[in-house]
Amino acid sequence: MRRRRSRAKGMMERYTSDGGLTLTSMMDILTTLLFFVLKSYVSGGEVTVPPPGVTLPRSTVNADMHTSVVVAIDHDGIMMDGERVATVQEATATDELMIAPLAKRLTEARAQMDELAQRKGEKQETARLATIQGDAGIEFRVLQKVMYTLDRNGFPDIALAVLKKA
Amino acid sequence: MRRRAQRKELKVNTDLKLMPLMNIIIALIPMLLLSAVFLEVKVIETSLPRDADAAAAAAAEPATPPLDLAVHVRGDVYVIEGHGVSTLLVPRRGVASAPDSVATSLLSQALRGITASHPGTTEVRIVAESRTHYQEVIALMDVARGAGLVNAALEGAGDPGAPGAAPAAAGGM
Repeated sequence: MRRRRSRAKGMMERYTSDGGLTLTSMMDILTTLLFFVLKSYVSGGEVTVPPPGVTLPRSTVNADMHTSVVVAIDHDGIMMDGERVATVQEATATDELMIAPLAKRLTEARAQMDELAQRKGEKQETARLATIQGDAGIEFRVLQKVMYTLDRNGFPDIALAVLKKA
Repeated sequence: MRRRAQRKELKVNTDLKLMPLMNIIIALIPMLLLSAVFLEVKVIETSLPRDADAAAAAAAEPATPPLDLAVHVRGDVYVIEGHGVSTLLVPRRGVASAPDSVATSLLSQALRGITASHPGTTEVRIVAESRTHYQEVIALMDVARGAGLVNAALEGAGDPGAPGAAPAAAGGM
């Protein structure tokens, strides 16, 4: 009788758990996920997210972005550093290639950059870089006018932002 | 009896305490996922021709006339032309956001043929109409780059003589 009771006790011990969670497998999953997320981060170049409403065109190019003045163009307007400076309608209303409000903002930005460079004791650059984040569906005439305005206001080096094709 | 009691007291729980680590990781993962940028933004670097470059180009007279290769976007056709190159026409879908696969293949084939017969050629002009979509221009630049024409210049079709309508950009990609 006593032996049977001890055998039953042994079986109970074998088949019952203490009720605690098995965290090791979950930790493995989470650690793998953590490394994956860290690896997905852009490790080089400038990290930029196109403004809402702008779907960048896709390209096979592989050059990284650099810090620069950003001009975004969507179907309605032209934005500089996140602020709307002109509408596409205004830009295309005339045959004039220069977009006056954008030119004004670019001149101001350039003056600010020159002043900063002067305060830092750096040499003033003659040609500065600007990045165009244009929506894939915009018309070429808008792009051409923006490029012309950038060139005439001290930004002849232009980078066209695109999404890398898979 | 006393010894047994001492042994009981010395018993240490060696299990790792994973809960604090779990809490940190669970907080860290959503934070990283929210701030992560999964879109790979790249750039096509271009620079507009400067007055000094134009003067230098005008001063240096080449021994042979330049190829002056150009891809025109015209209505329902792409036109490839250049000096010493027979004009090639590639069908285009009317208002297309990008050349279709057939057009891309034909354009690529034609441009590869030209670069093979004119080694060292890296420049091409992409002459777009005012209403051509930006995606189509980028796609044409991609096709040209694939054929070895890494310096693509953009040009507006409407007004070739106007200031600024001359190569809008020459891209070294």
